[in-house]
Amino acid sequence: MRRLAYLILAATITALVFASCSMSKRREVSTGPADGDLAKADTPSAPPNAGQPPPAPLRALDDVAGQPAEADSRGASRVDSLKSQPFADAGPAAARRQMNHPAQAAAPSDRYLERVVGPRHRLQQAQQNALASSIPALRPGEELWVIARADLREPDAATPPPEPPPRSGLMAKRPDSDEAIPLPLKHTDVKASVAGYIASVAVTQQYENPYADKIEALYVFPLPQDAAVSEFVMTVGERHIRGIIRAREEAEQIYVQARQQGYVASLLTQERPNIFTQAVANIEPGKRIDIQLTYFNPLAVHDGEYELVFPMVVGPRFNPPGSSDGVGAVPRGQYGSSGQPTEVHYLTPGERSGHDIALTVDVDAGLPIEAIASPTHVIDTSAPSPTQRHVTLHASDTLPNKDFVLRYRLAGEDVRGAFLTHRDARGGFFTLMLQPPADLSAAPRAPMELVFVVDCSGSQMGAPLAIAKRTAERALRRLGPNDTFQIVQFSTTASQLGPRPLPATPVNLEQGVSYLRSLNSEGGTMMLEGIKAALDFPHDPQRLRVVSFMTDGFIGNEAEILGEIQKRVGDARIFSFGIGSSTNRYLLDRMAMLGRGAVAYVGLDEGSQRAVDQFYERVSHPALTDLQIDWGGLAVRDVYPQHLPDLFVGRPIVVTGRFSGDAPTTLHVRGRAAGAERDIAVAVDPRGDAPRPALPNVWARMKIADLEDRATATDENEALDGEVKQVALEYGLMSAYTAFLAVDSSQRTAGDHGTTVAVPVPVPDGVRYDTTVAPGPQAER
Amino acid sequence: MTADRRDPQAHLDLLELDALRAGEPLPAAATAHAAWCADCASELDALHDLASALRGAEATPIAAAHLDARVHALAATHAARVRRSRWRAGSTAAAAAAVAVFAMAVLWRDPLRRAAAPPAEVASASAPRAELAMRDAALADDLDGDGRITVLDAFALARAGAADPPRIDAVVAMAVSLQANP
Amino acid sequence: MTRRVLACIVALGALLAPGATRADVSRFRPVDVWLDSGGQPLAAYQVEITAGPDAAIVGVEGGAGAFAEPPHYDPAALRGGRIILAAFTTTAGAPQRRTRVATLHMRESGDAQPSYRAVVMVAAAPDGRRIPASVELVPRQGDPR
Repeated sequence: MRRLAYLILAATITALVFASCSMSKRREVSTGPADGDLAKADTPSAPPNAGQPPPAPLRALDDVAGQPAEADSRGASRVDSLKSQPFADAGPAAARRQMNHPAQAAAPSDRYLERVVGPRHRLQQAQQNALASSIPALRPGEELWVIARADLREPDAATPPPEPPPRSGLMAKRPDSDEAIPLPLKHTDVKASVAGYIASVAVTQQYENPYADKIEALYVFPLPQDAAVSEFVMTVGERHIRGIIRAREEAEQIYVQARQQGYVASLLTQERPNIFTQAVANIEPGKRIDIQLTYFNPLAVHDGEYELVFPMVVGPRFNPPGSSDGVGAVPRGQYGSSGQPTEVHYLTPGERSGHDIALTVDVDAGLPIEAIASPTHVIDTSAPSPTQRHVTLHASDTLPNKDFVLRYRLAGEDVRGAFLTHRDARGGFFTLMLQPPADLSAAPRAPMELVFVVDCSGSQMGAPLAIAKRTAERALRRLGPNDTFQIVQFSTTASQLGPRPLPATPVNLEQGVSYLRSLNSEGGTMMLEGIKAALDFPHDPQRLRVVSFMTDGFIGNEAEILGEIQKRVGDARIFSFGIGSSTNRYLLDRMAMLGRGAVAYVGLDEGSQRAVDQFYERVSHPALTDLQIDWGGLAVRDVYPQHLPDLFVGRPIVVTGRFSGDAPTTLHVRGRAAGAERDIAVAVDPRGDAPRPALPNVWARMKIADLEDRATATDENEALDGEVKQVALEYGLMSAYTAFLAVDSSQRTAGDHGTTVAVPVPVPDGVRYDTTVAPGPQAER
Repeated sequence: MTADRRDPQAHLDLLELDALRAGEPLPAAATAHAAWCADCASELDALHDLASALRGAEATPIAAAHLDARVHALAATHAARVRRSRWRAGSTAAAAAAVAVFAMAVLWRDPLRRAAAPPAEVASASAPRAELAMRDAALADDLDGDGRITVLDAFALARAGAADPPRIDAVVAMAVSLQANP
Repeated sequence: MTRRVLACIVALGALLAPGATRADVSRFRPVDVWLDSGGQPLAAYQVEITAGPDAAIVGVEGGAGAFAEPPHYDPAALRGGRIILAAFTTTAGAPQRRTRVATLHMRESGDAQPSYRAVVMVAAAPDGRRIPASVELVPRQGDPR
């Protein structure tokens, strides 16, 4: 019987290999007919790109900006309407946040409005006027049919048809008003519930078809990189259909079939651990489809503060030349222009989509909450009890263009690690939050060789680079006389302060500060060059090399970067700063893990003082290294992370695993600190066997992350990928090899499968559109 | 567009500094000056710190991790109930465990399931320990004492109104689990 | 000889490749799950359903009235052609007649309609008392517009 089983398995594998040869590795969701489309227009208006050369690249706007304003009635009305918009009632901070998006701004001066809004609007108007003038006037009863020819690209590249005309006007902007662009994603609702240090979050996306034709909506969006997505429900009218998790290729195949046959269907796929694509097919005109996702993720704890992060927008990624598996950043509607399988469509600064977000967080901490605040958004807070808080995103701050961060502190002392358990038919699961012993902070530190690696790419232009330079300067000035330092800058290439690290003398420090202040941002994000420059030069064995990246992480080749770091890091430690409103936390957290260090995130509205002070707390005091945990009588297995990170003051670590037996009351943590062996007894607070259905998902998610890390470092990709899929299917989780799918087979919609419309998003707060979203191949940026 | 960076008149005023703090677009010269000028950079830091300080006005000394008193109370109640149900359902549990062991043995020998078995590190743990876990679960959540976990146990918890939704969900999950219902 | 060998490999691959075969004749169909509690109010149920190898579940929908929310099920079960559905309601209005408690959305392949079977594991009244119930699976066509 076993031989027969193996024979069947081998035959199945052969067949799957055969079948996979005829399918693309990363299937592109079909975006419409291959040879163009017919767009019927009753008016002289037509899709802007129908039969016309593509609009001028947005870089040209910089040339236009300096020109005097033309007499343009529409432009003047645009400026006037913006000037008439009132400031929000929530206060100056919220009002300033609104001003980050000019379309919503009540700007402080005419010069500001004219500089930001006028040129872009004039260019769009000029393009539309040119198009309109080439179309003959129609007589009553006549119809104008516009046939759009598809771009001649690779046969397997996406060939999207023009977007369908909305029911009541032009696609991008109505000529006689400033009404928002009709797009299929109307609203996102987020409800988070925190118990202990695990958050359960339900995200509901409301899709609605504002067009006269059937559409398929495509939305690329972020989630926390350690989110264990375990539930998926599609709501059609009053009916709720729970989706199922399947192997990705199978789910994609079923979705395509359902779409082609006219059924309402939805498919959720993972492009990166923190980037997902939601596809909803056959949304009929005027109809609404809701998609609800539920995930668990553990909160980060830094220096006694719990931190909940909900990302809202994917930042525009740079993909190195020749990459074919990246994440493209394209202007709205320019399908396939990046050549990448996943594309995020961005609104120009003068456009807004009308998509807003509502967010609530319920915290049940078990201990009195001393302080709760958001450094990124305006929030309203109520306190049902001293140990609970209800937090709501203020109505004035609902533009989804930056990560939502919530931090809170609790009262009381912690002398024990929090040990949470859960048992079910699969066995026992635990998570352990291990607190570092306080006396580590008293030990002296070794001399450092500090290497700053500053991201000077286009996405850092403006406030992000200013913050990075200020942060690095502050850190430099705290170096001791026995330390050395080096400064590396990277964009399209990399360069550095000098051929070798400099001693931290006053003269050299001033030289370093001058170099920092001279840095400007431009070009792409060849992070690999920065990594090589930071890690490849000879290491001083008498010093601890600390590499500090200062970046937003907006790259599309994370796997390559993480693989190179694993190869080169050696004994160095990586302590990074994620700078910006929507940083790539997946990349930066993994870099810190691989580099046995830590990462601090500095938002645009935060000062860098705190981040630098915390940075020095990390690097200035030795960690407890080479950790091993003695579990006592508890039988544990499948513990993740497999290689325990170093334990820093103020930075507890979360360990998860499987167990059997009774939970212990004391654990022993052994390691080395300041050259000496340490054995620390940790009193464990067993929380009893109350069911915690989140724990199996958290464990499975961490196992998947560990497998993915191993896959980037070894050649065992296929075996590890198979294991990822196995774990994900067993626990019903999203992964790169599984997908959620839901099909409403009870009703078939009429007509073909409609037109694909990608949901465009705003560029993240603080990021410039003209230096990050290219109209052509990203390698040329 | 480039101002003389050493010109003291090129310092940013308070509004411009605050605009820079908020990430709003500014003339290139102003942005470049802020990057160079130590005075302006210092003032910008102060603005950032002030904003942060206002938000964190209730900042307290560093606190350590928390104790979950409510979970303690629930755990104590649950443990007491487990002790009573163990004493009452000992023989039923033993029979259920025997059935579970027999079922797991059959599944373990099933060649097709072995061919599609999960990786060794999970399989080696799940099979011999699952029966112990299932017996533990049966003892704890088999409220109607029929020797297995079904939706009726979750229904009983929900009707009693005493259990948290996560516990109810966990019991239902166990009820529909194929592993628990071979 | 080489051509014959290649033809055999191609044929074998075509025969064994599951996606290539089923994609040609796949269709979607909802299968309603009806429970009849014989006049007694039904507040909780647990049903085991098995489907033939040519059927794959692509969605689990709730039923009518008090059972409108999708029922609970084991995600891992969906790979093996066997699934257990369970749901309960504590609200008033427990149905007493034959009631649709859930709908499984299926993708079917092959020429013949796959077989579906269901067994009631448990059913209960609002007071938790076990009651007898019968289950019926009713495949239907998707409504054309």
